[in-house]
Amino acid sequence: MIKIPIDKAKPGIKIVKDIVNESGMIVVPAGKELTESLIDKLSMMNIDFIYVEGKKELPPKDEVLNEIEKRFKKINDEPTLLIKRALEAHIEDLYNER
Amino acid sequence: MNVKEVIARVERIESLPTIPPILKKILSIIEDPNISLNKITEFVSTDPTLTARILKMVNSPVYGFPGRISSISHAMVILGLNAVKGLLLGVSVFEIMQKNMIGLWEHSLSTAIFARIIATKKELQSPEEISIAGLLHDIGKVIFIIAFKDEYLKLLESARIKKQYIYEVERDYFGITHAEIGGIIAQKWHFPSKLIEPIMYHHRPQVSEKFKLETAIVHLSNTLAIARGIGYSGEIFVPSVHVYTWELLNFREEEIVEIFKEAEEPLYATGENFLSDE
Repeated sequence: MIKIPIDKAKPGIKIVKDIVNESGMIVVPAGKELTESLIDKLSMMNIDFIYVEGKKELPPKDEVLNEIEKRFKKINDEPTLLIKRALEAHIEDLYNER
Repeated sequence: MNVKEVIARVERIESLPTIPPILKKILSIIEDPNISLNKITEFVSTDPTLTARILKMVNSPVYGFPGRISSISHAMVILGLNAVKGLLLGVSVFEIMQKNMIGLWEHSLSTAIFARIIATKKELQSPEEISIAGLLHDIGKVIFIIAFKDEYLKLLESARIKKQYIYEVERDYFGITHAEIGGIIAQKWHFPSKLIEPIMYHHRPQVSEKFKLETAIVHLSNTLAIARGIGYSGEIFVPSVHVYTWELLNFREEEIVEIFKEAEEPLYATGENFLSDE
Protein backbone atom coordinates (compact mmCIF):
# COMPACT_ATOMS: atom_id res chain seq x y z
CA MET A 1 0.00 0.00 0.00
CA ILE A 2 1.26 3.47 -0.82
CA LYS A 3 -0.18 6.89 -0.17
CA ILE A 4 -0.29 9.21 -3.16
CA PRO A 5 -1.61 12.73 -3.71
CA ILE A 6 -4.74 12.82 -5.87
CA ASP A 7 -2.96 14.66 -8.70
CA LYS A 8 -0.66 11.63 -9.12
CA ALA A 9 -3.62 9.24 -9.43
CA LYS A 10 -4.12 7.39 -12.72
CA PRO A 11 -7.02 5.32 -14.07
CA GLY A 12 -6.65 1.59 -13.44
CA ILE A 13 -4.92 1.87 -10.06
CA LYS A 14 -6.68 -0.04 -7.28
CA ILE A 15 -7.84 1.70 -4.11
CA VAL A 16 -6.79 -0.28 -1.02
CA LYS A 17 -8.28 1.82 1.75
CA ASP A 18 -11.78 3.31 1.94
CA ILE A 19 -11.84 6.93 0.82
CA VAL A 20 -13.88 8.96 3.27
CA ASN A 21 -15.14 12.51 3.05
CA GLU A 22 -14.93 15.18 5.75
CA SER A 23 -17.99 13.90 7.59
CA GLY A 24 -16.62 10.38 7.72
CA MET A 25 -18.81 8.84 5.01
CA ILE A 26 -17.17 6.30 2.74
CA VAL A 27 -17.24 7.74 -0.79
CA VAL A 28 -15.17 5.04 -2.48
CA PRO A 29 -14.77 1.63 -0.84
CA ALA A 30 -11.46 -0.23 -0.84
CA GLY A 31 -11.07 -2.59 -3.79
CA LYS A 32 -12.44 -0.26 -6.45
CA GLU A 33 -10.33 0.72 -9.44
CA LEU A 34 -9.78 4.38 -10.25
CA THR A 35 -11.36 5.80 -13.41
CA GLU A 36 -10.90 9.17 -15.08
CA SER A 37 -14.29 10.43 -13.87
CA LEU A 38 -13.73 9.11 -10.34
CA ILE A 39 -10.42 10.98 -10.10
CA ASP A 40 -12.17 14.18 -11.23
CA LYS A 41 -14.88 13.73 -8.61
CA LEU A 42 -12.38 13.09 -5.83
CA SER A 43 -10.39 16.22 -6.72
CA MET A 44 -13.60 18.24 -6.55
CA MET A 45 -14.42 16.79 -3.13
CA ASN A 46 -11.19 18.11 -1.59
CA ILE A 47 -9.76 14.63 -1.13
CA ASP A 48 -6.01 15.22 -1.19
CA PHE A 49 -4.47 11.81 -0.61
CA ILE A 50 -5.52 8.25 -1.37
CA TYR A 51 -4.07 4.83 -0.55
CA VAL A 52 -3.45 2.63 -3.55
CA GLU A 53 -1.79 -0.65 -4.45
CA GLY A 54 1.94 -0.50 -4.85
CA LYS A 55 5.24 -0.71 -3.05
CA LYS A 56 7.16 2.12 -1.61
CA GLU A 57 10.65 2.77 -2.82
CA LEU A 58 13.25 1.48 -0.43
CA PRO A 59 16.72 2.94 0.03
CA PRO A 60 19.61 0.65 -1.01
CA LYS A 61 19.88 -2.34 1.32
CA ASP A 62 23.58 -1.87 2.03
CA GLU A 63 22.89 1.66 3.15
CA VAL A 64 20.16 0.49 5.55
CA LEU A 65 22.36 -2.25 7.04
CA ASN A 66 25.23 0.18 7.34
CA GLU A 67 23.07 2.64 9.29
CA ILE A 68 21.95 -0.17 11.61
CA GLU A 69 25.58 -1.05 12.22
CA LYS A 70 26.27 2.56 13.21
CA ARG A 71 23.24 2.86 15.50
CA PHE A 72 24.23 -0.28 17.42
CA LYS A 73 27.81 0.83 17.87
CA LYS A 74 27.57 1.15 21.66
CA ILE A 75 25.89 -2.21 22.16
CA ASN A 76 27.70 -5.26 23.53
CA ASP A 77 25.05 -7.00 25.64
CA GLU A 78 23.46 -10.19 24.35
CA PRO A 79 19.72 -9.21 24.44
CA THR A 80 20.28 -6.00 22.46
CA LEU A 81 22.59 -7.81 20.03
CA LEU A 82 19.76 -10.29 19.52
CA ILE A 83 17.52 -7.36 18.53
CA LYS A 84 20.16 -6.29 16.04
CA ARG A 85 20.28 -9.77 14.48
CA ALA A 86 16.48 -9.88 14.35
CA LEU A 87 16.38 -6.47 12.66
CA GLU A 88 18.99 -7.49 10.10
CA ALA A 89 17.04 -10.66 9.35
CA HIS A 90 13.90 -8.56 8.95
CA ILE A 91 15.63 -6.16 6.55
CA GLU A 92 16.91 -9.12 4.49
CA ASP A 93 13.35 -10.50 4.28
CA LEU A 94 12.01 -7.10 3.31
CA TYR A 95 14.37 -6.87 0.33
CA ASN A 96 13.99 -10.53 -0.65
CA GLU A 97 10.23 -10.15 -0.95
CA ARG A 98 10.56 -7.96 -4.00
CA MET B 1 21.04 23.22 37.37
CA ASN B 2 19.28 22.60 40.66
CA VAL B 3 16.82 19.73 40.25
CA LYS B 4 14.30 21.30 42.64
CA GLU B 5 14.20 24.44 40.55
CA VAL B 6 13.82 22.39 37.39
CA ILE B 7 10.84 20.51 38.85
CA ALA B 8 9.31 23.71 40.22
CA ARG B 9 9.44 25.34 36.79
CA VAL B 10 8.01 22.28 35.10
CA GLU B 11 5.17 22.11 37.62
CA ARG B 12 3.96 25.56 36.73
CA ILE B 13 4.15 24.89 33.03
CA GLU B 14 0.64 26.26 32.41
CA SER B 15 1.76 29.72 33.47
CA LEU B 16 4.91 29.84 31.36
CA PRO B 17 4.71 32.35 28.50
CA THR B 18 6.11 29.77 26.08
CA ILE B 19 3.12 27.45 26.25
CA PRO B 20 0.77 27.59 23.23
CA PRO B 21 -2.79 28.76 24.18
CA ILE B 22 -4.53 25.68 22.82
CA LEU B 23 -2.29 23.39 24.86
CA LYS B 24 -2.98 25.48 27.95
CA LYS B 25 -6.70 24.99 27.43
CA ILE B 26 -6.30 21.27 26.89
CA LEU B 27 -4.19 20.93 30.03
CA SER B 28 -6.86 22.59 32.13
CA ILE B 29 -9.27 19.92 30.88
CA ILE B 30 -6.86 17.05 31.37
CA GLU B 31 -5.83 18.17 34.82
CA ASP B 32 -9.35 18.29 36.21
CA PRO B 33 -9.73 14.98 38.10
CA ASN B 34 -13.53 15.23 37.98
CA ILE B 35 -13.83 15.76 34.28
CA SER B 36 -16.52 13.59 32.73
CA LEU B 37 -16.56 11.76 29.44
CA ASN B 38 -19.30 14.11 28.26
CA LYS B 39 -17.32 17.23 29.09
CA ILE B 40 -14.28 16.03 27.13
CA THR B 41 -16.42 14.96 24.20
CA GLU B 42 -18.08 18.36 24.20
CA PHE B 43 -14.76 20.19 24.37
CA VAL B 44 -13.13 18.19 21.59
CA SER B 45 -16.21 18.41 19.37
CA THR B 46 -16.09 22.22 19.37
CA ASP B 47 -12.61 22.12 17.84
CA PRO B 48 -12.59 20.71 14.30
CA THR B 49 -8.80 20.34 14.13
CA LEU B 50 -8.66 18.37 17.36
CA THR B 51 -11.62 16.24 16.31
CA ALA B 52 -10.02 15.49 12.97
CA ARG B 53 -6.70 14.58 14.56
CA ILE B 54 -8.19 12.28 17.16
CA LEU B 55 -10.33 10.51 14.61
CA LYS B 56 -7.37 10.23 12.29
CA MET B 57 -5.31 8.67 15.06
CA VAL B 58 -7.93 6.14 16.17
CA ASN B 59 -8.57 5.15 12.56
CA SER B 60 -4.88 4.90 11.71
CA PRO B 61 -2.85 1.69 11.53
CA VAL B 62 -1.29 2.74 14.86
CA TYR B 63 -4.35 1.19 16.48
CA GLY B 64 -5.67 -1.13 13.84
CA PHE B 65 -9.30 -1.13 14.96
CA PRO B 66 -11.53 -2.88 12.47
CA GLY B 67 -14.13 -0.62 10.86
CA ARG B 68 -14.32 3.11 11.07
CA ILE B 69 -14.70 5.24 14.17
CA SER B 70 -16.49 8.31 12.95
CA SER B 71 -17.24 10.33 16.08
CA ILE B 72 -15.52 11.42 19.25
CA SER B 73 -18.22 9.83 21.38
CA HIS B 74 -17.66 6.51 19.61
CA ALA B 75 -13.90 6.83 20.21
CA MET B 76 -14.65 7.49 23.89
CA VAL B 77 -16.68 4.32 24.22
CA ILE B 78 -14.00 2.21 22.56
CA LEU B 79 -10.93 3.75 24.19
CA GLY B 80 -12.21 4.97 27.55
CA LEU B 81 -11.62 8.26 29.34
CA ASN B 82 -7.95 7.87 30.22
CA ALA B 83 -6.88 6.75 26.79
CA VAL B 84 -8.75 9.65 25.18
CA LYS B 85 -7.13 12.09 27.62
CA GLY B 86 -3.74 10.67 26.67
CA LEU B 87 -4.56 10.81 22.99
CA LEU B 88 -5.75 14.39 23.31
CA LEU B 89 -2.44 15.35 24.87
CA GLY B 90 -0.52 13.34 22.30
CA VAL B 91 -2.06 15.06 19.28
CA SER B 92 -1.90 18.52 20.85
CA VAL B 93 1.88 18.48 21.34
CA PHE B 94 2.31 17.63 17.66
CA GLU B 95 3.08 21.25 16.62
CA ILE B 96 5.62 21.75 19.37
CA MET B 97 7.38 18.58 18.27
CA GLN B 98 7.29 19.57 14.60
CA LYS B 99 8.57 23.05 15.28
CA ASN B 100 11.37 22.21 17.69
CA MET B 101 12.43 18.63 17.33
CA ILE B 102 11.74 17.22 13.91
CA GLY B 103 11.29 13.48 14.04
CA LEU B 104 10.14 13.24 17.66
CA TRP B 105 6.53 12.82 16.54
CA GLU B 106 7.51 9.97 14.19
CA HIS B 107 9.56 8.38 16.95
CA SER B 108 6.58 8.66 19.33
CA LEU B 109 4.23 7.11 16.77
CA SER B 110 6.69 4.31 16.03
CA THR B 111 6.98 3.52 19.73
CA ALA B 112 3.17 3.51 19.98
CA ILE B 113 2.98 1.03 17.09
CA PHE B 114 5.57 -1.33 18.58
CA ALA B 115 3.90 -1.08 22.00
CA ARG B 116 0.51 -2.04 20.57
CA ILE B 117 1.98 -5.02 18.70
CA ILE B 118 3.92 -6.30 21.73
CA ALA B 119 0.98 -5.79 24.10
CA THR B 120 -1.22 -7.78 21.73
CA LYS B 121 1.40 -10.56 21.54
CA LYS B 122 1.51 -10.67 25.35
CA GLU B 123 -2.31 -10.76 25.41
CA LEU B 124 -2.67 -7.68 27.58
CA GLN B 125 -6.20 -6.49 28.09
CA SER B 126 -5.98 -3.06 26.52
CA PRO B 127 -3.18 -2.80 23.98
CA GLU B 128 -4.51 0.67 23.06
CA GLU B 129 -3.63 2.01 26.50
CA ILE B 130 -0.09 0.68 26.30
CA SER B 131 0.12 2.16 22.86
CA ILE B 132 -0.82 5.57 24.27
CA ALA B 133 1.85 5.17 26.93
CA GLY B 134 4.19 4.60 23.98
CA LEU B 135 2.90 7.70 22.21
CA LEU B 136 3.48 9.78 25.34
CA HIS B 137 6.68 8.19 26.65
CA ASP B 138 8.82 11.15 25.55
CA ILE B 139 6.38 13.85 26.67
CA GLY B 140 9.13 14.96 29.10
CA LYS B 141 11.19 16.10 26.10
CA VAL B 142 8.32 18.36 25.02
CA ILE B 143 8.11 19.68 28.57
CA PHE B 144 11.85 20.41 28.54
CA ILE B 145 11.36 22.24 25.23
CA ILE B 146 8.53 24.37 26.64
CA ALA B 147 10.29 25.12 29.92
CA PHE B 148 13.98 25.29 28.87
CA LYS B 149 13.98 25.61 25.11
CA ASP B 150 17.43 27.08 24.41
CA GLU B 151 19.19 24.93 26.98
CA TYR B 152 17.48 21.78 25.79
CA LEU B 153 18.20 22.31 22.10
CA LYS B 154 21.85 22.86 23.03
CA LEU B 155 21.86 19.62 25.03
CA LEU B 156 20.52 17.69 22.03
CA GLU B 157 23.29 19.12 19.90
CA SER B 158 25.94 18.32 22.48
CA ALA B 159 24.69 14.73 22.91
CA ARG B 160 25.05 14.35 19.16
CA ILE B 161 28.57 15.77 19.04
CA LYS B 162 29.83 13.95 22.11
CA LYS B 163 28.06 10.72 21.06
CA GLN B 164 26.32 10.38 24.38
CA TYR B 165 22.84 9.17 25.25
CA ILE B 166 20.45 12.10 25.65
CA TYR B 167 19.16 10.88 29.03
CA GLU B 168 22.72 10.92 30.39
CA VAL B 169 23.26 14.46 29.15
CA GLU B 170 19.93 15.50 30.71
CA ARG B 171 20.86 13.98 34.05
CA ASP B 172 24.20 15.77 34.06
CA TYR B 173 22.64 19.12 33.23
CA PHE B 174 19.18 19.12 34.87
CA GLY B 175 19.79 16.45 37.50
CA ILE B 176 16.77 14.64 36.12
CA THR B 177 15.81 12.96 32.82
CA HIS B 178 12.93 13.50 30.40
CA ALA B 179 11.46 10.20 31.58
CA GLU B 180 11.11 11.37 35.18
CA ILE B 181 9.93 14.82 34.11
CA GLY B 182 7.28 13.15 31.95
CA GLY B 183 6.25 10.98 34.90
CA ILE B 184 6.00 13.96 37.25
CA ILE B 185 3.87 15.90 34.81
CA ALA B 186 1.67 12.87 34.12
CA GLN B 187 1.07 12.62 37.87
CA LYS B 188 0.21 16.29 38.04
CA TRP B 189 -2.29 15.75 35.22
CA HIS B 190 -3.90 12.86 37.12
CA PHE B 191 -3.04 10.22 34.59
CA PRO B 192 -3.55 6.65 35.81
CA SER B 193 -0.48 4.76 37.10
CA LYS B 194 -0.77 2.49 34.11
CA LEU B 195 0.31 5.49 31.99
CA ILE B 196 2.56 7.18 34.55
CA GLU B 197 4.83 4.22 35.24
CA PRO B 198 5.75 3.42 31.64
CA ILE B 199 6.50 7.11 31.02
CA MET B 200 8.43 7.61 34.26
CA TYR B 201 10.49 4.41 34.06
CA HIS B 202 10.99 3.80 30.36
CA HIS B 203 14.75 4.11 30.89
CA ARG B 204 14.74 2.25 34.23
CA PRO B 205 12.10 -0.45 33.80
CA GLN B 206 13.43 -2.43 36.76
CA VAL B 207 12.13 0.12 39.29
CA SER B 208 8.51 0.13 38.10
CA GLU B 209 6.11 -0.96 40.82
CA LYS B 210 2.61 -1.90 39.77
CA PHE B 211 2.85 -1.95 36.01
CA LYS B 212 6.04 -3.85 35.33
CA LEU B 213 4.85 -5.52 32.16
CA GLU B 214 3.47 -2.29 30.68
CA THR B 215 6.69 -0.45 31.53
CA ALA B 216 8.82 -3.24 30.08
CA ILE B 217 6.80 -3.09 26.85
CA VAL B 218 7.31 0.67 26.44
CA HIS B 219 11.01 0.31 27.28
CA LEU B 220 11.45 -2.36 24.61
CA SER B 221 9.27 -0.46 22.10
CA ASN B 222 11.42 2.64 22.47
CA THR B 223 14.52 0.56 21.75
CA LEU B 224 12.91 -1.12 18.73
CA ALA B 225 11.75 2.23 17.36
CA ILE B 226 15.25 3.69 17.62
CA ALA B 227 16.74 0.49 16.19
CA ARG B 228 14.40 0.58 13.18
CA GLY B 229 15.56 4.14 12.61
CA ILE B 230 12.25 5.88 11.97
CA GLY B 231 11.98 9.38 13.40
CA TYR B 232 14.37 11.11 15.75
CA SER B 233 14.25 10.67 19.51
CA GLY B 234 17.37 12.65 20.31
CA GLU B 235 19.34 9.41 20.45
CA ILE B 236 21.90 8.65 17.79
CA PHE B 237 22.64 5.26 19.34
CA VAL B 238 20.35 2.42 20.28
CA PRO B 239 20.23 2.12 24.08
CA SER B 240 20.56 -1.33 25.66
CA VAL B 241 17.48 -3.28 26.62
CA HIS B 242 17.49 -3.74 30.36
CA VAL B 243 18.10 -7.35 31.31
CA TYR B 244 15.10 -7.21 33.65
CA THR B 245 12.80 -6.33 30.75
CA TRP B 246 14.33 -9.02 28.65
CA GLU B 247 13.67 -11.70 31.27
CA LEU B 248 10.16 -10.45 31.89
CA LEU B 249 9.10 -10.43 28.24
CA ASN B 250 11.14 -13.47 27.32
CA PHE B 251 11.06 -13.12 23.52
CA ARG B 252 12.89 -15.41 21.14
CA GLU B 253 14.79 -13.97 18.19
CA GLU B 254 12.11 -15.16 15.71
CA GLU B 255 9.47 -13.32 17.72
CA ILE B 256 11.41 -10.07 17.50
CA VAL B 257 11.68 -10.57 13.73
CA GLU B 258 7.89 -11.05 13.65
CA ILE B 259 7.37 -7.84 15.63
CA PHE B 260 9.51 -5.89 13.16
CA LYS B 261 7.63 -7.46 10.29
CA GLU B 262 4.22 -6.69 11.74
CA ALA B 263 5.23 -3.09 12.41
CA GLU B 264 6.45 -2.43 8.87
CA GLU B 265 3.14 -1.57 7.26
CA PRO B 266 1.73 0.68 10.02
CA LEU B 267 5.14 2.36 10.33
CA TYR B 268 5.15 3.14 6.67
CA ALA B 269 1.49 4.10 6.44
CA THR B 270 1.80 6.59 9.27
CA GLY B 271 4.90 8.05 7.63
CA GLU B 272 6.05 11.62 7.70
CA ASN B 273 2.87 13.20 6.44
CA PHE B 274 0.69 11.78 9.14
CA LEU B 275 -0.86 14.94 10.51
CA SER B 276 0.67 17.53 8.25
CA ASP B 277 -1.69 16.88 5.35
CA GLU B 278 -4.92 17.66 7.14
